[in-house]
Amino acid sequence: MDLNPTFPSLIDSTILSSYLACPRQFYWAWINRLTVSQKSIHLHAGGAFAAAIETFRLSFYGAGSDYDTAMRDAIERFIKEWGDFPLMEDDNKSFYNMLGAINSYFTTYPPATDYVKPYMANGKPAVEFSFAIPTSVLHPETGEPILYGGRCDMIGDMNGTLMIVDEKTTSQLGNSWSKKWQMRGQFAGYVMAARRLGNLPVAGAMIRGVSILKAGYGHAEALVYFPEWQIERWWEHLQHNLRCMVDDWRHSQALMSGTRHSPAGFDQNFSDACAAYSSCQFLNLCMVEYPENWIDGYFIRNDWNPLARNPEEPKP
Amino acid sequence: MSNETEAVPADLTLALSKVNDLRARVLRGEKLTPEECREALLALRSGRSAAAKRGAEKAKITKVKAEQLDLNAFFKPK
Repeated sequence: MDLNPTFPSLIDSTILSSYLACPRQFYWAWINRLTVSQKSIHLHAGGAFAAAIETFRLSFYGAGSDYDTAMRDAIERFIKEWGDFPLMEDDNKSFYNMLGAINSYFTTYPPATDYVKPYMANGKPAVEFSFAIPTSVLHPETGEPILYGGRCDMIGDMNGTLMIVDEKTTSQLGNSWSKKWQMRGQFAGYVMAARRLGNLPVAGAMIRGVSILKAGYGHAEALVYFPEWQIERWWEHLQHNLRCMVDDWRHSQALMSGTRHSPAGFDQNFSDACAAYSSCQFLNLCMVEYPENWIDGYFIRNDWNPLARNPEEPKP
Repeated sequence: MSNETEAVPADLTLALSKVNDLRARVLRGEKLTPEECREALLALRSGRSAAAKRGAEKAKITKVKAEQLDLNAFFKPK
């Protein structure tokens, strides 16, 4: 496979997190768009789950369907989204477990009495909106502003207070689960987009966790608020890191003095990021002196689309 | 909201086969009814719960058996 380094025109929270964890990982994953050949069950299962929840809400709140009809619509959508992906029977996030999680979610939060309902915009529930905001950092190849974008599950109305609502499936819920969202840039970005692009007074985010256990499902909620000063700091942090990415890109190009790029322009972590989540998928490339020789056969091109529900879906 | 107290077969295999049937029909382009979806979800829930219960009982039995083992017997000189 020929490497074709391209600087991304749109950065989302996943791409930014990758750069923050390890610039070299960012280089392989987002500049060269490489990924291991097997698709991620977590992304696939999470995407199908989110699609089903969205369909339920559109049917129940938007079209005025009854509970059972909305659930039928959600199940049909879930099955279509899962498609011919393996059912992964032995995995925590198997097709069957995820289907049960949809049922458990709406049993725990019955939509008729749920204290968080979708914000209605022109008679339609505000579910699944995507956004792209221009930053002040210019793209090193096109000279256009680099965009920051994402896709949010829902804007909820919580007794008159607007909140971003996002569902997360996990294997475990606990104190550490609740605390991990307090400074999450992903939600700062959603809140900022809703305030600046939608002109909506969104106060923060509500994250609803669904844990998939052997004997059933667990549920937890975390509420985080983002005052304007914190949004400003996050925006500065984002742009600072975009500038660092562009500097690394130029350094990487300068090392090869031409159109080619050297991985050496992007620093390595040499620490926890190498072993995080049962090891970085590019670990083997850092273990050999000439990584370019080891790409064929181990990696495929990644068509990550940050504005899609399952970002591994190819771009339309 | 659904009434979830109906009797459903507490058998995971049967539940999975109901779900598989729904899946095959949706992938063929057929439309499902709300009733059959509700039934499949109830079957899945109770089948999964029964399977987990059986798993926990089996684990208990294994534990009791393990406690009965005399480990010294393994290290006796021959």
